Formats: sequence, C-alpha cells, structure tokens
Amino acid sequence: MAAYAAILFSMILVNNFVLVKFLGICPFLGVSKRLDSAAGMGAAVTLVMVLATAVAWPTQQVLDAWGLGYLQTIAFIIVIATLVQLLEMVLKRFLPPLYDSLGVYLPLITTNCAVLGVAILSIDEGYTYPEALVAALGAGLGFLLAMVLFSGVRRRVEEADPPQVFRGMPITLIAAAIVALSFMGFSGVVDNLFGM
Amino acid sequence: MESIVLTVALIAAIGLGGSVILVAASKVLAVEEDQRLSYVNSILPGLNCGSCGYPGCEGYAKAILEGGPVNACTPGGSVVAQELAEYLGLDQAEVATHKAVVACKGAPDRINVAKHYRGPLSCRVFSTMNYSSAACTFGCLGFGDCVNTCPFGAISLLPHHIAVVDTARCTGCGLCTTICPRGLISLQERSLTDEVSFVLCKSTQTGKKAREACSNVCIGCRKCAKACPAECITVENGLASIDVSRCMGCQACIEECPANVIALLSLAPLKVLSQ
Repeated sequence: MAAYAAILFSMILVNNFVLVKFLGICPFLGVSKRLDSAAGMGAAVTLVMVLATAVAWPTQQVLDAWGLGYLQTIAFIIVIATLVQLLEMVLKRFLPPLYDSLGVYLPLITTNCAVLGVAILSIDEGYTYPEALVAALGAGLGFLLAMVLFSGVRRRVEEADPPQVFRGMPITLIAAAIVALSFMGFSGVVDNLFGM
Repeated sequence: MESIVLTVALIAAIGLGGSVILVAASKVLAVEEDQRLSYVNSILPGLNCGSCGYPGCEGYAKAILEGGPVNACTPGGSVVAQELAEYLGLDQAEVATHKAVVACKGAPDRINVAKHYRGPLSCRVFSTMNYSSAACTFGCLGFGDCVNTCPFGAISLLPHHIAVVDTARCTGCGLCTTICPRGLISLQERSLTDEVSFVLCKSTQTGKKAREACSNVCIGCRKCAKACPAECITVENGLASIDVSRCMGCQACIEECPANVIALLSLAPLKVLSQ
C-alpha cells in the first residue's frame, strides 16, 4: 500500500507533469486564465490520463509480444485519440451534465502530450498494471493541482502592472517558472516520507 | 520485409479497429438533438463573442429554441434576427439598435489640450500620466484613441480635435466606450424615434470658469428641462442629461439651449449589413 501511496504522491508533487517534467504546457498556459476552466481542464485530463493508461498498458503488452515495442508512440496516439472520441460520445449520451462541464476540453486533450507522456513514462518505469493506473491518477491530480494553483497566480499577474515589455505572455512565463521552481523543493520529500 | 508488413498491418489493424469502434459507437450512442438546433446555429454568425449574454453561439441557439429573444445578436444585426424570426415563425423582431456617441461638442475657440504637450499622441497616455492643462477637464482630449480603436472607421476627428461618431457607419459594437479615458463615449439605444436630442457635454463646471474653457458648455441653466414636453431632461450637478428612451425627437430643447450644446443624434439602424 505504501508503494502505491509513494507513487501517487511522487507523481503529484515530486514529478509533477507540468511543473517538473514540463509536459502539457500548452493547456497549462492556455486554459489557466480562470479558476473554473482550469479546474475543468484538470479534471478532464485526470479522467483521460487514467483511461488512457488503462488502455495503453495492455496495448504495450500486445506490441511487446510481437516484438514491436518501438511502435509504442504511434500506437498510443491512435489508441488515445480513439479513446477520447469514444469518451466524448459516452459522456454526451449518458452523462450530459458532465459533458457540459468537461466536453469543451475533451477534444483539446486528444493530442495532449501529458496524456501520451503518462502512458509512455509508466511503461518506461516498468510499473505493473495497478501501479500504472495509480501513477496516471497521480499525474492527473498533479496536473489539476498545477492548473488550479497557477490560475490563482495568473489572477495576481493580470492585475499587476509590469513594464510594457513584460506584459502578457512574458510575465506569465516568468510566473510559471517561479511556480515550477517552488515545486523543485518537493524533490526527495516523498521518498523520505515513505522510506523508499 | 516481414517486419515491415507486420508493422504496417498491426498499425492498420489498430486504426481500423479504432475507427470501427467509433463508427459503431456514433450509431449506438447517437444523441437525439433538436433538428432545428444546427440550422439555428448556422444562421448565427459563429463569432462566439458572447454579446448576447449566452455562452457562445451554440448556447444562444439553444436559448432561442427554448423561447429566448431572437434579436440579442449584435454582430448579426437585423439580418440575422429577421432570418431567425422567419424560421421560427415569430413576428418580425426589432433589433435593438445601439450607436456610440461622444458626449463632447467642443468649440473651435476652446483652449487646446495638447498645446504644450510633447508626449506620445494618445489620450490614455495623457490621462494616465496626469498631464493637465487649462482646458476643460471633462472634454474630449482629441488624440484619437477611439479613432484607432473603431474597426469600422466610424469615428473621425474634427479640425478642433474633437472625436465624432458617424452614426451611419457605427455598428454599436461598443469597443470605443471602454477606450476613452474620460468616459465620454456611451452607447445609446434606439427606442421611440430615429432621431433624438443628446447633450454633447459632460462638464459639471458652471459659470465663468466653464465658459472660459469652452463656449459650448452645459452650465445647467435648466432651460431645456422646462422646454421638454416629455419631461425627459434632468439637470444634476450643473449638467443636463436626456433620457434617450423617452425622447420624442421634438427638438424643442435644441432650439432653447443657449450654449448650443444639445444636438440631434441619429439612431437609425444600419441599412445594409456590411459583409
């Protein structure tokens, strides 16, 4: 159990996908302007990450069995894209309220590198199936955390009055860098916490 | 050779499998959508500007089908409203026509705001940097920030540095209203008639000082308020203001005004929707 907790928290804090591994930067900068859209995007990514890993991990086993492990990237892209489309249809049919809140973000996630990243990285790490799922959940929650935190930072940045040259995206990127720096402080914390 | 075939076959199989699943799912999971929704959506301009007050054009289309107003789309204007009303079998809908107006008439002999000013030629810079001059502190600065903002070329500068809106070209988008640092530009909605009276002054100064700064200044003499048959003029803080929604366009106030500061404002809808 401790091993799962260690994976979960290390994915959320130590190996945060956005702030430490720098994956999924475009939604991080693009959708973080308002708290509700940031949270919506984070929740949608979390859901898709878990489902994508659930599908990608067996796919990798099939590929390995045929000795075609190098097709990982292209196979995952197809599988994940199909999955997201399917998910969108299922949500629209059975869970309209959830579709209304997450639906806008789902097409954006189809080609999100963080989703592909979590599928590939959990295989590189040699996780078992349940471990991979926990890692995906952790990565998604980490993404959600980063989005929510940064939408708060963004608000302050929008209200600030930086010099003309820094206005807009430059000051946002600097703010993102500082938030990322603060997450560097987590390195080692989880390992020691769970005695790994 | 074999590995190439195997690779291609496998990826093709995954792709085919995925597409079969998606096609099957789109049949099985098809959601019954109101047939009219896509048509209503296709009438709307698709700008997703949100000026109707609904989340995007699709949100507005849904609201229309649930009985919302068909005339809320500002960019689409009367053309879209008519098409929607025709499609839904409603009475022809009037689109609320909005026109921007600069509430400053200025005067050719007024003190020039920018006479000794050497900074960037921008109203907002002038205002933000707290430059000041002996000129009227309420009036148009005349650097033309609004002129540059208007996407339809409807605002121009008069020779004595006063911005003026050409109502024949104004679409009522409201972009200029937020740009003016002195808050002179407002949107006025057409209600009773095409032409209404409007006070082209925002100065709350009264008496000699006001007259020195500009000869076309409202001094709050209340002559217009007495002359108005509709009683739609109120004078507060030495400044008359006309309730445009009640103005009948009789022009009594214009004749009466000693400062010549009330003018006729045309709120007629645009004849042709520019493409």
